[in-house]
Amino acid sequence: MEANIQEIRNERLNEKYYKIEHKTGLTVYVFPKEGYKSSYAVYGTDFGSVNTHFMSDGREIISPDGIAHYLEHKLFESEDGDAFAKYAVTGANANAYTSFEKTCYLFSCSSNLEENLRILLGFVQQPYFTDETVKKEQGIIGQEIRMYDDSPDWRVMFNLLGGMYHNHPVKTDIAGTVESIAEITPEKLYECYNSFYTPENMALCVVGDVDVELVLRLVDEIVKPGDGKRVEKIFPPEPKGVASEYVEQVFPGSVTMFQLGFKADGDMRLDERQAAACEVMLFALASNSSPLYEELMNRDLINESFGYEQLEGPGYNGVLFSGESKNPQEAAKTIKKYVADACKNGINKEDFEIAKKAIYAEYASYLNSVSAIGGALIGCDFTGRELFRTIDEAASVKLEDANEMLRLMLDPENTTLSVIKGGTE
Amino acid sequence: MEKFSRRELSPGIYLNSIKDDRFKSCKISVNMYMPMKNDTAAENALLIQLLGRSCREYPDYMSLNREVNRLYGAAIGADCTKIGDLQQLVLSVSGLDDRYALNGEKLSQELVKLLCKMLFEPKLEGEAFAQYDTQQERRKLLELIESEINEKRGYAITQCVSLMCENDSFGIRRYGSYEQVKAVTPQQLYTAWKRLLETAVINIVVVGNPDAGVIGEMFSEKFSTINRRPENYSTRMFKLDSGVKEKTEEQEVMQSKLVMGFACNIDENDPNSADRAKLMTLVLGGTPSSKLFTNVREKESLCYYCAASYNRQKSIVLIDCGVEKQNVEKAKKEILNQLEQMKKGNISEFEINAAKLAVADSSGIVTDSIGGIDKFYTSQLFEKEIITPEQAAERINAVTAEQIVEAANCVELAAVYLLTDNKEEL
Repeated sequence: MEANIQEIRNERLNEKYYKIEHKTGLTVYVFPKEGYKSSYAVYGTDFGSVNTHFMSDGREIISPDGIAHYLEHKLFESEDGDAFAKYAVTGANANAYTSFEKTCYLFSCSSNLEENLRILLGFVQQPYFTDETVKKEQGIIGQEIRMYDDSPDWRVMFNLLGGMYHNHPVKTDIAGTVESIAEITPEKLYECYNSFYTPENMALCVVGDVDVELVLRLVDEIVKPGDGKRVEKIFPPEPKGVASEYVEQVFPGSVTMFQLGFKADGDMRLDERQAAACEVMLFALASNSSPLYEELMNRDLINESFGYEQLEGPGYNGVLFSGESKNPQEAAKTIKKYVADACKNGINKEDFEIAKKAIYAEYASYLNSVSAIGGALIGCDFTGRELFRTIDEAASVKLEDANEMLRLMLDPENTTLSVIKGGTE
Repeated sequence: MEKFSRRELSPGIYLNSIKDDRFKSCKISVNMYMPMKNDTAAENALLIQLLGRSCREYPDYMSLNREVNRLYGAAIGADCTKIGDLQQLVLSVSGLDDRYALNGEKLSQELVKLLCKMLFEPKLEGEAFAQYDTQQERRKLLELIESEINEKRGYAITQCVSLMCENDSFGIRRYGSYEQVKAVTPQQLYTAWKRLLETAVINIVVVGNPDAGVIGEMFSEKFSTINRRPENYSTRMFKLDSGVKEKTEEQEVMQSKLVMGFACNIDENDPNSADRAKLMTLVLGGTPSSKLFTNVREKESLCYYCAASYNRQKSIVLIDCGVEKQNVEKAKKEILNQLEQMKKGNISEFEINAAKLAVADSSGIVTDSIGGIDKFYTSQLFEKEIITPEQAAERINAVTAEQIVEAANCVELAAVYLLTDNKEEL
């Protein structure tokens, strides 16, 4: 076994996991959970919907929108059959997803872990794309795209990203369009596969009723070594300011809803301390016990659907506030007013103390769930963060860190408001 | 590892504990059951929201939320759902387990105290809930009802159930209708609150590491002051009362949603008949190896999703899919064809084993999360016998191919609902 194994512990929460740099170039995480009957495995590549433009082997490649997601669907079919049919014999619950920045293949199981890992590591390494199989998927993915077209929650977000970004591909639907996926061919899928599905660009996380020895034995046996080549991702230049301050879509058969996006510096990558501080800051500013929430609620500008999130990836970073509202303009104005006040006066100390404990508890509770841990580990790997350090930072973050994040993340002068105007009122 | 225990604290009040020290957090919920009735559904739904909003000591949601967030961002849940012919009203708290508090705080007891204050000491104005609070929560509930249309798949399923069960209490919407919610008064809410405490069947459920005995005593003391007269509630199996009901609703949608409702007509006197119907449904459309997934989606490329689900309380099967308008008839025909194949016994060993293995494997997964444990046990509280996930899987595993075919032959189409666009076909 040629691998560098590092044990990472957290005494406060009494947990540990192993990070393994495997000789193939693959990074492997094993997080044993004592007393758990089930396991969760996720095998992912640092390749998502935003990676349609890249240099591979000295060649510039531009792929159709939606290709990462299409590839995810097609990888389930190998020459020797469908991966779902293989899992059907073990009973595992398998799935996959494509996000802006990654593609992940996963399963949960409470028996046959070894066999399931063999299936997972096997099919992800065995692409099999033919004209016929690629064409067949167009009907299925076409219906997936139609399903999202009918979702106002989905539309309000992509309309927002279209307003925030001039050029960055984060503004493009993850699944592409019915037209763009019609351009996808087996050759184009192989181009992406060969560039991004290399051990150096991937990570494997196994959590639950598992030990390091088993995972390493299987990785040794199954994972083919990479050739060390790195693919270079290319993004178009993106101006600092938003593309438009307001976007609107009339959507009959929906209630009126909004998303307000604050565009931050897309080149800024948050480290563990900043990521924790950002969450604490947002909780202090907009949780259900904040003065902002109180004003919005008392003036009937929001309801229980109100929420917020930080959205970060290669070349994009920002904060989104969202909710249903009878008056989105007024809701947005109120949020911006509170943000401007906080930028001027800083976060309230008591709100900060409450937020800090709440975020620490939220992070600690992720460790209840094998799937949450798996998802967090692979996310940390691709963003260069360490899971336990993020939790510790939440427990020790300082008010000035939160105030710094406020200034870095929320510029009330650089926002887009996206509104879905419903037809049911 | 989880360990289930249950005892009756007083008539109609049960303490259910699933003791498990593996989790960083815990959940304590009070599940209250009332019969689903057209004239009380809306007030009960609004009542549970009011109870989750404030209490006498924390008289507005800001002071209550602040107190809850101070307890390490704990969460209050106030939910209204349907289970069979009953309306399930749940008031819950979830939060960090005491062992992980940074300064040794006793969080779980604080949370239970808060839960008791919300349930037993609401903020009142005489014999009525507060006018302003009622108005606010009513607005939120009305907006929640309005927004159901945003999620087309769930909306279509609700519409199909209402159509299918228009003469059955299962057809009543869980929050009541928009107009009914609009009409509820603060005085009615007060009466509804009294009625809930006095007549509901109550299941307190503790999941995680807290000492359920202490929690049980805290609730017993509170309930001892209430004049309890709980009734016995039960659910009747759905039966077809007339021919197939059909409804088409037009909206501006890109994708049509087809939902078909079926009566399973199981033998209620046979304790294993529900397991047979359950496995039959899984083979038909419950896994990626099912007939609907492999044929309607993979072979015909008609849908992204096409699935069947079984409702145990009402013994109903629902099949739903999202499909292009011009393919609706084709999808419907293929779904019915797959059911027909089941009835004829054209079921492979592979299909049956895949469904059984999926059930057996997921029985080990369900107990590895607080949510999974809570849902699994809470859904059984009205069953004659409460079993573990492993026992449930063993019962499914014992079903034979012949019994699946037999169950399929009892299935009867009851309703077809279609949500489709209003444009003329090109």
